[in-house]
Amino acid sequence: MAYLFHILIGFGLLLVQTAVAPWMPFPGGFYDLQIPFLLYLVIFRPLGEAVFVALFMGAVVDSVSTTPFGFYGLAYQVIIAMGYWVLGFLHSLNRLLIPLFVALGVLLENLLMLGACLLPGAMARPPRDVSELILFQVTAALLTGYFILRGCHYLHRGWRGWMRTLFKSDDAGGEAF
Amino acid sequence: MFSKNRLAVAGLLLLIALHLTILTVSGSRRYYFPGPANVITTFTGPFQEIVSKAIRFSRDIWYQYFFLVSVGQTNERLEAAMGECVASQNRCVELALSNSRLRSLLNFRQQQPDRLVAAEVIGKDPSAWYKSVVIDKGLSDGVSAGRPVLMAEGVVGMVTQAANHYATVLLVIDQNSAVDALIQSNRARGVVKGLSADTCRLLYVLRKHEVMEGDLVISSGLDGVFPKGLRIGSVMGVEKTNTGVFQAIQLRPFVNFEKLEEVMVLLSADADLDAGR
Repeated sequence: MAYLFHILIGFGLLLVQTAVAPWMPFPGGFYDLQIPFLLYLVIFRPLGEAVFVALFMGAVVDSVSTTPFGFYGLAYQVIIAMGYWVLGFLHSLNRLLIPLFVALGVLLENLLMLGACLLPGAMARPPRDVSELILFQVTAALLTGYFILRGCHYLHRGWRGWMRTLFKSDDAGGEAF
Repeated sequence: MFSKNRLAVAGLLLLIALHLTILTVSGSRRYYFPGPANVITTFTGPFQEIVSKAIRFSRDIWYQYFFLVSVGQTNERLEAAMGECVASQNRCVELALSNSRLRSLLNFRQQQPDRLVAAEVIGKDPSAWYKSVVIDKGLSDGVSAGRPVLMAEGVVGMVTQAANHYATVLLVIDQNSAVDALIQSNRARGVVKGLSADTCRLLYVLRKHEVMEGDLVISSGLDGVFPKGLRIGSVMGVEKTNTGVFQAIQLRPFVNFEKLEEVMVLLSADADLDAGR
């Protein structure tokens, strides 16, 4: 059931990003909303769940995007690896560090995108205003990343409560923060 | 022998290596993976369509019922513009008739009129690095990869991937798109490439050509995708360096890509609609 919840959240975030965000006045585009969700999984859920979501949502986002196929799969796995490394290094995250954590994930994805343009034989080229784009995305992640991550946590708590009522069983959940 | 954690880390590293390989292969565009992409687009498309239509519906309620303050002025302006359009259309009809007469005189092959299919934009690329949109028409409507996408204002882009009922359109403002073009006034040739959110550049125009700000840029028809004469944009800046063969030209596209809602896909005259059904 936890996996179904993760798929629903990932899919919902993709819809917000592709069908709702274009109506908002964001210059160039918003950052990838899957990143705070993946980092939520890194902080509160077992590694297996995070890797599963990264694989599944990576394939989905790769399919609806013009990026070379496999980019998002790679980026999400690298972000998970980075997340676990940072978490092992810092041991715990507080309200001040979580936005930095999300911003770091967004920066990493953009750097990987830049790297993908430099791969041997790559035909994709970075846009001219790439530095402004990255700056906007990292700033947006710093300002909003914490709320999205916390939103995922609340939704998961609500889902667990709902599942418990439905099936009278505990669907192993995350810790409070 | 190995702890569970070490196995998980090894698995993660293996997945990263696998994705890096896929990315290297797909990034060179020598290979495509249309199968899974089409399946997933077919699945995500209806949801994107529902969300887009719900937002559009709410916005229309606001604009059509609550935001009518300046409608009177707009109406007057539009009526004046309509008058000009009618006069302009009359001239165009006359020109088309004379063109047709001259063509038949010269024994030109009568060009088959291309068919257009209207489509709604239902989603945008999740990556801010790439400028593409998803439309609600696909193979079953005769839309296939490589078809040009237009608006009344000008060229929008090209279909890069088509599923049964949905298609992805790469916009001309994407840095990876290219349209063979002409400057209408002096017929100088170049290639229009995307630059940023609302500008393009016209590359490979020789220094010897005099290009002025405001000059109209149209498609040349030589790329085999866009028919000749479609409006792309107007010149907003020209830079001639002391060295080099070409000049740097910046374009402002006629299409407002921030407010892209409906587009038209140009189907070839012989597109078989039943093929996708």
